[in-house]
Amino acid sequence: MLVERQWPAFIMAGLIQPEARAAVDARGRQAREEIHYAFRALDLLGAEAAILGHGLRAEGNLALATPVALVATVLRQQVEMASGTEWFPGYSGASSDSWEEDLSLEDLRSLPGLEAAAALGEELQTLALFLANASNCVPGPWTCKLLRCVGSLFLVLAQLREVVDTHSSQRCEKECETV
Amino acid sequence: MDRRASTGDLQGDGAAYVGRSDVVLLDLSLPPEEHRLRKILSRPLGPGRVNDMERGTDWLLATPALLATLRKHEGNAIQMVDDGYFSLWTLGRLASGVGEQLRRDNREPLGATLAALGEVMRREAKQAQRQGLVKELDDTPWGQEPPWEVVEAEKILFKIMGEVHAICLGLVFSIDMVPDDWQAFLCRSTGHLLCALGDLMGELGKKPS
Repeated sequence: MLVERQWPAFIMAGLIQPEARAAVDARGRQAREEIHYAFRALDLLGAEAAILGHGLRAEGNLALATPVALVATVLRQQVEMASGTEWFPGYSGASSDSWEEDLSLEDLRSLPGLEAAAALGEELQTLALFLANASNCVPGPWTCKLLRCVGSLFLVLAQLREVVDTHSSQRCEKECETV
Repeated sequence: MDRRASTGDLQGDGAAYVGRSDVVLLDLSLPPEEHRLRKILSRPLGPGRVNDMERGTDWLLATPALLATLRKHEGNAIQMVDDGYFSLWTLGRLASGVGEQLRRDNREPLGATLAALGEVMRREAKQAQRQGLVKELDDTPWGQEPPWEVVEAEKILFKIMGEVHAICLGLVFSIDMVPDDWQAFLCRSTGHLLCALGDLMGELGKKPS
């Protein structure tokens, strides 16, 4: 049975406009399909994170490469956890998938290291929020799995964010000194 | 929320907003249910965003009225974070108490898992207080007797789980609307909470006590 609970008050207060809210309500009835999409996206994002991590390591940027590689590892683990279930039969990462465009993967590849890591964090956060919301609309056993999954995503995101924030601050300071 | 700006518009009057530090853009290339608020705080438009525009992504440019609304919501989000951690602290104390009671009644591993969740809740609330995300936490003792009946432990348990789930959702949806230096903390904190909640639900699913 699908259980729909209340959204946080500030979202109900109008941050999401009526037409979007109607779509949100509909989402509660489509949780299975959405979770499927989200894991496909995580699959793709994980592959991109692995490529990015290798690139950063090759550049010698270990400080950024480490959390990015960790993101790749966690995403692979989570996708493996879901693979083969009714929620995520499995995905081969075909390039024709429309998620690839939604995820701005081309942008990710074209960005310099710090910006790419930041963009990776943004995409990861979006998908984590997506699954967090879905966790509110699925049967109990999957709520449990999704909560662990989302929790892991936010933990690894925190590590990435901290490194990215530190690098951004350092770069700002350097730029200020130059000016 | 009714001003759609095409790429051309962004070069026109919309450009007045692009240079500002508080520009908020909604990416309309995504389905409505996936609108992502993008706060650009002191960050110039990077190559990725420029590429998005060049690719013809449809942006909704923030109007002054929307910015005012969003500032109000930022205030709401900060309040929600404060409320959330305050509730986590109070509920965490309750969860620890119920968990200990269940342990005394030999209802393991549920008791230990609930107690562990309570500990995570209290720990995260304390850390949030140190970081300034919550102003004060109520340390008033419960009183001599715990505020629950043993027979109601399971009802309390489910109530706690539902509340923690809702609080966590509130916190994660607040991440983009709180000050930048809170965001990594919120990610980590909610990560710990969600994992602990998932563990507790897993225990409940495995062995009903």
